[in-house]
Amino acid sequence: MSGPGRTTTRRRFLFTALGVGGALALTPLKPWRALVEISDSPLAARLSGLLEHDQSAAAVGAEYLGQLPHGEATRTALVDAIISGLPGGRRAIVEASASELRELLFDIVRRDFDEEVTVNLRGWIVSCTEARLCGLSALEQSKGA
Amino acid sequence: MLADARRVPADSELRSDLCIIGGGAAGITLARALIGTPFRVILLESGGLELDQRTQSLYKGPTKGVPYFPLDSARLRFFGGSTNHWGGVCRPLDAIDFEARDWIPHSGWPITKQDLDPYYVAADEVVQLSSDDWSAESWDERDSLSPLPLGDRTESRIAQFVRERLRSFATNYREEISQADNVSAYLYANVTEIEADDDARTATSVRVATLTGNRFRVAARHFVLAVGGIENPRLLLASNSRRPRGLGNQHDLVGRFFIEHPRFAAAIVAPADAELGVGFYEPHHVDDVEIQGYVALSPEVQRAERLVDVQVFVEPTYDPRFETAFDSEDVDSLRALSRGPASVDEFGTDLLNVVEDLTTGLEFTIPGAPLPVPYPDLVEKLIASPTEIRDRIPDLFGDVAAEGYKRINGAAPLEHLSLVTRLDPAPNPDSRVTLAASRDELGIPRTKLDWRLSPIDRHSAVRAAEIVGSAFAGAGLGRTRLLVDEDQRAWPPDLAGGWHHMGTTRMSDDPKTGVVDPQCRVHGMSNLFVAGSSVFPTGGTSTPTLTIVALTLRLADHLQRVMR
Repeated sequence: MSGPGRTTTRRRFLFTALGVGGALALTPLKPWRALVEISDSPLAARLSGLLEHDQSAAAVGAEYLGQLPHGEATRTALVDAIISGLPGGRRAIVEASASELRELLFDIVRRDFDEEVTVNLRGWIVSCTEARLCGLSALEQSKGA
Repeated sequence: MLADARRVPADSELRSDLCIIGGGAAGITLARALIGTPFRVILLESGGLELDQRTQSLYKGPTKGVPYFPLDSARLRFFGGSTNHWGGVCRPLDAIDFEARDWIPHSGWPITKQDLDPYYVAADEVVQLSSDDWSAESWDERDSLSPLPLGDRTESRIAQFVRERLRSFATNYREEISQADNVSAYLYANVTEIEADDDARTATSVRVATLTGNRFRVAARHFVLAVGGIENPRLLLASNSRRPRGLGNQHDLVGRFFIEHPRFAAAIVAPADAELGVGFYEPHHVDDVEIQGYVALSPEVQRAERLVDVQVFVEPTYDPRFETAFDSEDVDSLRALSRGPASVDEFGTDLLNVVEDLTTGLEFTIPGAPLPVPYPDLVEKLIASPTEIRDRIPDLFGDVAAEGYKRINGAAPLEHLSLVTRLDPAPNPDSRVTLAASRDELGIPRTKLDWRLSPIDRHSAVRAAEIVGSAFAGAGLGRTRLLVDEDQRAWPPDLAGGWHHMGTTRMSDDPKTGVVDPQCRVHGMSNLFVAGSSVFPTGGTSTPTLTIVALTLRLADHLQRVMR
């Protein structure tokens, strides 16, 4: 768990993420096998678990899912979209601590805003990564309901 | 000399080299520029030295289209004109404002910013600005308050304020004009028609009437119409003895392209830190000069996104509990102030919860944000203020409390920020001033204003709010809710103009696309000129007074050449 007094860990995590990526690139085994072995379900749970205000996340997520074309409002599509911008990919989601993952996602969110990769949800400007995380949370909660 | 038109012999004809119609910012500037020259100047002002309702009612007229102020309250008809209610905000137009932009129909001035720059320097002196420095970066070096780091798609700009006691041109320059040997300013002199020769190529005289019933003429070698962006076209259209459509209106352009500066809140920002320092965006003093910062889209973004120029004001609304801070019970309320902005809707609260979840444990550095200081310090200091403050201005105590808190702590807790956009709307030929069927007390047809905006204006406001809102979020400064969208049919209910009336006698090289030429001479007429913001082909987003004065000084130079 991270705490308010914790110092920035971005650099350390980026080293870790780059290290993971580098190791995967250098391994003689086919790295994609390692990737596909991590199924969507735990990844989705891990990502949506970052959002402790689950009702809020579900509300935002439901709004986002309602805007997506049919077929894109799936756990797989949302996880893939989030992972596509994440250094370290699926493995990072599994191996990073919660605070490291938040930090990594925050960088993506900030990049979303810099590049206006955003969505309008009831007037609010929301980063697409945030919206996808909330969408996952909504799907996870509907599964448990 | 200041004279009273009511005492001019009836049916007489006064003669001069130059007749200036209108005693506002343009008329007074022009008259002053010609003091001490060999030319005899007559200035005709409709009003007296004070506001008079009967004179003011000559401005009444119907409006339609985008809701607008009553026409008799949007300008002032007495010596000094609308400088008598001027807010004193100054900034030159930017270079891009003069450019023809292919995505903005009818844009482009026939002169450049460089042509006007020397006159802007002179205009600074006329309006009595303390500085001719318009660089936000330059001011930032001396300013204790900084702009927010809103990315490279936006830029900071500053406007300067003229000191309040120096804003009225009447107060500033009445004595100078009354002492001038070659200038005669007639008060209570309403011009009812500009008379021209048979082929309407040369103005010969103007008919003058007073509300007391006196009538006379003024003949001159040259005439300058300087009665504002609504009255300038009115007088040209009403001067129809020789041309049924009015003077200078051979291409049906007089009165068209009416431009105002629509201003409305396009978004609100829920700040990440309730004590985010936004003082740069409020009027504040730097080296004894009052300035205000605002956000603008960079010229590169305007070009890339094909937008009109947009100013974005960052307007803070402080915690509402400041407003009730006078009561002792509310002092406790202040102490217990929470940081949740009350303006955020339920969905926004959900979103902010998500943002909190995603940023828990992360550290941010927000430039300009002061260290939190507890409320009790403030409250105790304010309550210790002199009792007369509490007794005399309790209603203002909230403002005092907020201001006091800011002075002590550098920032006051915000309820939210409004992103207020002010647009340079695309010139629209259907946005226009025409003559109404009804007539005023002097028998002149009243004006009818039909203010129109264009789809690109709405699109630009939405995009500006999106770009600035994303910049706030990207910098970790706050989250933005848009209040406008592209699909809305109606304009926001808080949309208002700025009493800036422009475009109705627009400047162009080509008589088919403009009423006046680059020297402000009415196309097709040899000696009739127009001064004021009615000649602006586009309005920019800066307030127009400084540009009006600069253009008038340029016109004064030209007139001195042609009158020799």
